[in-house]
Amino acid sequence: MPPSPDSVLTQLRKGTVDYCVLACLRSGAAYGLEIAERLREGNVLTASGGTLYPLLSRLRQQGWVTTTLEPSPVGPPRRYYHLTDEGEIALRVFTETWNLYAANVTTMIKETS
Amino acid sequence: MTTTESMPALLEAYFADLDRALIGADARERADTIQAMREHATEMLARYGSSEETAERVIADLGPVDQVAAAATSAPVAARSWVDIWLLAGSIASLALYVVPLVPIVMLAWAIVRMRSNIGNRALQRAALWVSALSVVLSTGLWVSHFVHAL
Repeated sequence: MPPSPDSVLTQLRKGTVDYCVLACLRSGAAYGLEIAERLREGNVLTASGGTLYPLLSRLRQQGWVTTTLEPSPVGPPRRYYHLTDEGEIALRVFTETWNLYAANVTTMIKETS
Repeated sequence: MTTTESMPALLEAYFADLDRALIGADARERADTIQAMREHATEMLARYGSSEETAERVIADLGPVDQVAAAATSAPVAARSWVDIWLLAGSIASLALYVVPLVPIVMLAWAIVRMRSNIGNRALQRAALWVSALSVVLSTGLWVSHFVHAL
């Protein structure tokens, strides 16, 4: 049975969403809902926005992001996620590796199709 | 931050389900996830108004609790902890030495400290706690009866 586009995307997202979150934070700190919205705009996040939060917790435990509480104009203080220097290095390594790998996969698919 | 503002009943039920679904998850990740998702919900309620309709929208946005739980890291399997093995052995020894009240008391205190530290093997710690508590009861009973007979 051939895989559905959704199942292919699910597999591809597994190793890449973490770095997309880091990439979201490269331009500046953001709070949870804001990150979810940015990822959705880029068609990276699936329908379940809640899956973002275990991932953010892991990134924090790895030291790739850090958090601060800042006042919100609409309600209680917001928890802002910031990219750390370590996170920036991790993102750089991923980006370099990904660019090469994606190019190789594209070439391979073209050659064999 | 601890977002504990009251939410529509539907959302409270959702977070109770989420808490149960995350039982097998890493403890820190579980606490972080629930807290951050409550903040996500609070933000949406503030943005779109606190109503059952918004609550349904929040739940649709966050997705099924099972999917969130599947994205969480499983808690590490309890490792064999030599400290807790010694704790249990000491607690069993305190049963034999219950005539010396200090030994059961020290073992009980140690078991409580280990359980409150949230590290090590919980099953061994719990067993040590019960055995040392039994030793303390026996020791107390022995000394009280001894005291009563002496009067």
